[in-house]
Amino acid sequence: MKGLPEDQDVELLIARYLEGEVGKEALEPLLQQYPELRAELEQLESLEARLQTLPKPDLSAYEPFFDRVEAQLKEYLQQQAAPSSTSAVGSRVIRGGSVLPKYWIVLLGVVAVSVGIALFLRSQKATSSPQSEQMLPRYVDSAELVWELPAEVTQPVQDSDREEHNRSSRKEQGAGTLLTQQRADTARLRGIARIATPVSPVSQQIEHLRQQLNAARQQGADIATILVLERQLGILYRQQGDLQQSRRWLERAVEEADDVGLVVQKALAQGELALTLHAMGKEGESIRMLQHVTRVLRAQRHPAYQRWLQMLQRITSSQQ
Amino acid sequence: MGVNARAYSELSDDEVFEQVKCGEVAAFEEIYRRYKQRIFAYCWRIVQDRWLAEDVFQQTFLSVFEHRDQYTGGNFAAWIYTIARNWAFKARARQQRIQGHEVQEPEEGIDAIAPDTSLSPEAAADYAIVLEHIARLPVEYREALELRYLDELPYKDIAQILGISESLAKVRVFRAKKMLQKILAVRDSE
Repeated sequence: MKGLPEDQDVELLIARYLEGEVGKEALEPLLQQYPELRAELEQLESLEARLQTLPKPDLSAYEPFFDRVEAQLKEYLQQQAAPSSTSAVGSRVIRGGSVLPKYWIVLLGVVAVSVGIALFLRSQKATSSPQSEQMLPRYVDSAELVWELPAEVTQPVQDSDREEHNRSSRKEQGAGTLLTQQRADTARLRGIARIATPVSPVSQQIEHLRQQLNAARQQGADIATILVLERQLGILYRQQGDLQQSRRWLERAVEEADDVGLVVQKALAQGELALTLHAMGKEGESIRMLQHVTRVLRAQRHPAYQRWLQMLQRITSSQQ
Repeated sequence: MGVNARAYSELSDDEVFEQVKCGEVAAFEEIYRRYKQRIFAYCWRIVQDRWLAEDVFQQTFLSVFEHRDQYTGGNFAAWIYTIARNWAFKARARQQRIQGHEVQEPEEGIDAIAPDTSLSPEAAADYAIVLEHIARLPVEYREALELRYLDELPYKDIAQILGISESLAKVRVFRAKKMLQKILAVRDSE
């Protein structure tokens, strides 16, 4: 406001007046000191009225989505509320273990759990499917959900914390994915908006490619191979018309390439992702991403540069 | 337990959520009914992407659910908004990393996707202009202003969501209004 000091107390006083918390008499000393404030206040009051009457967006078109989420959450709630029969069995076993000393039972338990977790993680890493993992965005860290999530998720993020969020998220992703039962539940829950697709040659190719991907992971194939397979999956899902699945696989490829610093692989996955985004109707985003891809590939003198440049030109010209 | 669905609508958020903690599905339905639209719109405003907003929305309610025992009462709206905000910022940061560029201009604001069809053309145009200018405000002011006027939250809640004092929340909203007023004045004079 012209002439007014940038003083938080003064601003707070005016704010409180505009909110109706204090009367105009509280502002009198200010008004005498700054007569131009009167006109400014009138404008702000007029804006206040305009803001107060801002209509709400009409989200009725999203009711089917809301219903699907609700149904899944309710099912999850009911499952959570149901008593666990396995824990009861477990407690019986422990109580009945009088033949062996207790510490042996504990030791055996620890070993069994460790082996179980290792096998489980390995099998999950090998068989993680779009259904289980990509439905859950990579930014969701299962460990947070199981243990100390509230401190991070239920407390406000300060502006200065956002960069830390980025860094920690990157670190977590770099450390690999821990798919706990919680995450499996989460993933199942997040299979909300999925629609069964009829079997088609593309579906068969997808299935085949997923098997290849699983085999590659089990055999410890190099990351470049994994990325190529993931990218192919993204392309096939796009051909099939399942754009959300396509996007998820390609985003996964981008992130994994980024984690290990494979610049070209990342750019190639981003290129395909841009095409999927374009198919989703996100033209602006798609063009910006393709511009980025062509910059990277040109800098790397990569043979795919020309192809992606042509793709960018085609999409840009179709926009005009 | 044992409160029927009609009675839930007469209870406060905290009272209903206590029933959610006891596993009452009807109580959950009530909480979901109260917040689904607001939280979805809020997520959308932050991530500026419908698909991402859907993900964040689901994750928010899942987190609310998973950590229901950790809510000790007091301000449910602020709690659920805080969770949504944190997931939304995480999602946005991840998205920026994937896209390879830091600055993401709003591509599909919620007004662009879901305009209120009941508005007159003039009101709709005015609404779009105001929202467009709000979207251009610096993020800390925009957030406060949106929480106040689009989500209609009290300053106490806004302060809790943003992790600032109530006075600072008021000052931020006031500054946002001053900025908006200046922008609109210039536009009106053109």
